[in-house]
Amino acid sequence: MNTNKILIADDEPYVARVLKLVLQKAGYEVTCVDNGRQAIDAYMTIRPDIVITDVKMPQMTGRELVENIRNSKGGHDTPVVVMTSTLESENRDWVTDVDNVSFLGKPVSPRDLVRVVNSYFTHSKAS
Amino acid sequence: MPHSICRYGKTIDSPFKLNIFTVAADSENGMNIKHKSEINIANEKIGVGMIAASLCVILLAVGVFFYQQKNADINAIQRQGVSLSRLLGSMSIAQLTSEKSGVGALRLFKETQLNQYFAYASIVGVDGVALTELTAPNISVPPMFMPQQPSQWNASRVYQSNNGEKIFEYCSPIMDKGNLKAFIRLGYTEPTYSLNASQVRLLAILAMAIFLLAPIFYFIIQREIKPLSSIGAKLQALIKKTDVIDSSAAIDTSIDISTNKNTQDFMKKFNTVVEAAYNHIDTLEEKQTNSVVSCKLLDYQRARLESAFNALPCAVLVADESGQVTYASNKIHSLLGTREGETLGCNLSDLSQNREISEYLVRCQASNAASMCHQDPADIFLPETDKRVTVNPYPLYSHKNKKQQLGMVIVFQDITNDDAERSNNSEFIAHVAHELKTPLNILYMYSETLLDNADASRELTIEAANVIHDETGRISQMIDNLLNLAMIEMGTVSMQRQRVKMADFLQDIYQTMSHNKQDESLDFNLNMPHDLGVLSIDKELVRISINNLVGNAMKYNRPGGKVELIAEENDTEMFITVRDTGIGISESDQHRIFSKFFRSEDEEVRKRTGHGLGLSLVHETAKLHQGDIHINSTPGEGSEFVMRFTKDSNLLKDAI
Repeated sequence: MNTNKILIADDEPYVARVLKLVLQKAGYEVTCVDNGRQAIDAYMTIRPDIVITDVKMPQMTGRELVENIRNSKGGHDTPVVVMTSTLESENRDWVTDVDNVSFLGKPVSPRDLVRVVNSYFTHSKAS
Repeated sequence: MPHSICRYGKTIDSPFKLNIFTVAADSENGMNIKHKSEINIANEKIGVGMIAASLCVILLAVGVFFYQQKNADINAIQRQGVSLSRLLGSMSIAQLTSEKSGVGALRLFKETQLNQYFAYASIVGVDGVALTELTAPNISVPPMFMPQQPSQWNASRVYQSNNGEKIFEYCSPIMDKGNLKAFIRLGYTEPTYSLNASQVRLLAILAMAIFLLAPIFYFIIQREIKPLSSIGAKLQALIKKTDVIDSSAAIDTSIDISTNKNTQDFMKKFNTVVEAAYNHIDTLEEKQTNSVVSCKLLDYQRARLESAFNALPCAVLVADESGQVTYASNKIHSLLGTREGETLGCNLSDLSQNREISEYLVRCQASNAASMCHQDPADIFLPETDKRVTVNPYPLYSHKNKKQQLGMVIVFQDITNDDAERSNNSEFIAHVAHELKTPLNILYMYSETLLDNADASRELTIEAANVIHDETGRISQMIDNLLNLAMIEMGTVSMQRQRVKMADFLQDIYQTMSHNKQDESLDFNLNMPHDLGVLSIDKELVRISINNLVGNAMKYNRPGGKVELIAEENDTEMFITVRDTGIGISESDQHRIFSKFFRSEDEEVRKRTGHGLGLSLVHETAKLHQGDIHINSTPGEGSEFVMRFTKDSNLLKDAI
């Protein structure tokens, strides 16, 4: 069985690190990047099954990253989990406008994240 | 006499109100050594004077004696000359000359002549030819003046001798049977000044008497003038007292007046006057000292008041009732675009070039003068300085009479940045929340991970513990910075300025930071002069600021890099520099680096945790201390932050 690949984009090194730990433990292959631009490059090379991203990042925001992924070749349906702070709720509407994008409010519970990620794969298996 | 003394007493008495003071009359040891020596010198002068005076008297007496002797001699010559010439004139020429015996009466007369002044005896014929001449040695007979009238026959004349001496001549006719035969002339030289023995004796007795009297007079005079000389000494002391302010030098003002009953009354009054003068001088000195002190105090208070006005966030202008500016705080200039030194004494209407401001101020002045209601504050935009100000006039009233106006105080408030600040506020709150949430987020994630993995590896546990430790530290530091910043911005921070010995203070910071440094390979140095001076600063705020700078320099550095804490000073300023060999700051970032929550987009920066408040606090702290901060940085090479502090204001020193 192929290991599912996950790309995490977050400029907070500790956040990326703990999520990586948790997801690795859940059996995923995890790659971490610092910003949106690196995330695009990594997306092109790794072709992850799921992208997990922060909204506020240097060089490219999470929203721009999603748009870039959607516009890239074969990226139109890659699931994206966006981690946003509740304070940024007014900026959250765009998430619902895009297919296959879900959000998690900060503070992100690693438990919830694993459940969300798992649900994508069980969902895809079922279908 | 008593009448005049009485009047003299009164003239001294009246202006000084003497009866208030008592006289210490019996004080014997009233004079100090200095005064005594002065008196001795005076006494010596008197002694010498008296000797000179007695010598003069003696000389005068001698002169009188000489003069009298000469007069007596002249009289004797006259008597002798007249009588002898008559006597000889009554004899015949034959008798007078007596050629036979060779010894005539004339020769006899000459030989028996005892008078030392005898000059000549001569018989002159009617034709003027001398018949016989007998002369004293060295004397020649002057030619005779021949009398025409018989009344001039008997005459005494004065001639000038050949050697310039005066010669008194007595002339008589020699008659023979009623006819004039010849003239007999007897000449005497003028008597010289001389003394005889009896006179010398008299003179000696007189001189002795005078010399005996002189010391007696001396002692009497000395006794009489003793109180006078002490008056002189007292007056001298009084003059000196007015020159040298030395109230501790207690000078006995009374004078020994037991010596002379006649002068006692006068001396008592004099003592009273001197004492009154002393008291008067003391009072004046005290008043002068008081006024000097209160002058300095007033000066100091005025300076303090002005500095308090200058410290206000708004500009203050004080105008008198005629509308002239009597005080302008230094913020006025930047706000209204006026020039320093031009505002004082200038009329309100001429203060600003802005018409709106001028008109408003004139309206204020008019309504103030008319005691009308308070003029409403106005918002005015000044294109000259690109500032928006609120102008608020407050009338000033007299303390005593609440209705009397003394002018007004006009307060100018800069509201240019108010709108911008309001919009920044919500952004600020979002920032704070975000920055606080990030570490909280991490704490939450790690703690949950630990919870969910009871069998977590040791590696994970240690990592989680480390992260939790770091992140709580970050939160607490951030909250500290945030609170300090907020307090500074709201103006509620009460600057705890204290005089801090900067050498010790920086050494302390250096020790703590060297201890705290994370990367052992970093080279951290303190570089300052040993005798670094003192600054009046809020110790805690400055400590946090320097910690922030040094902390940044360490954090944004490379392994094996260098961090330097440098202090330099000149007469008026101190510079604290933190220099590193770190990643540097790009030019565009340098402009924004002191803004709250600013964090560079730079990857190198992003790798490191931070909350964007540290430098902002440093900036605010520098501003609060009337200093500033500068950056010099080259990306990739390092950065240098220079904090400038002004040394203690010389306000107090100047005032005192």
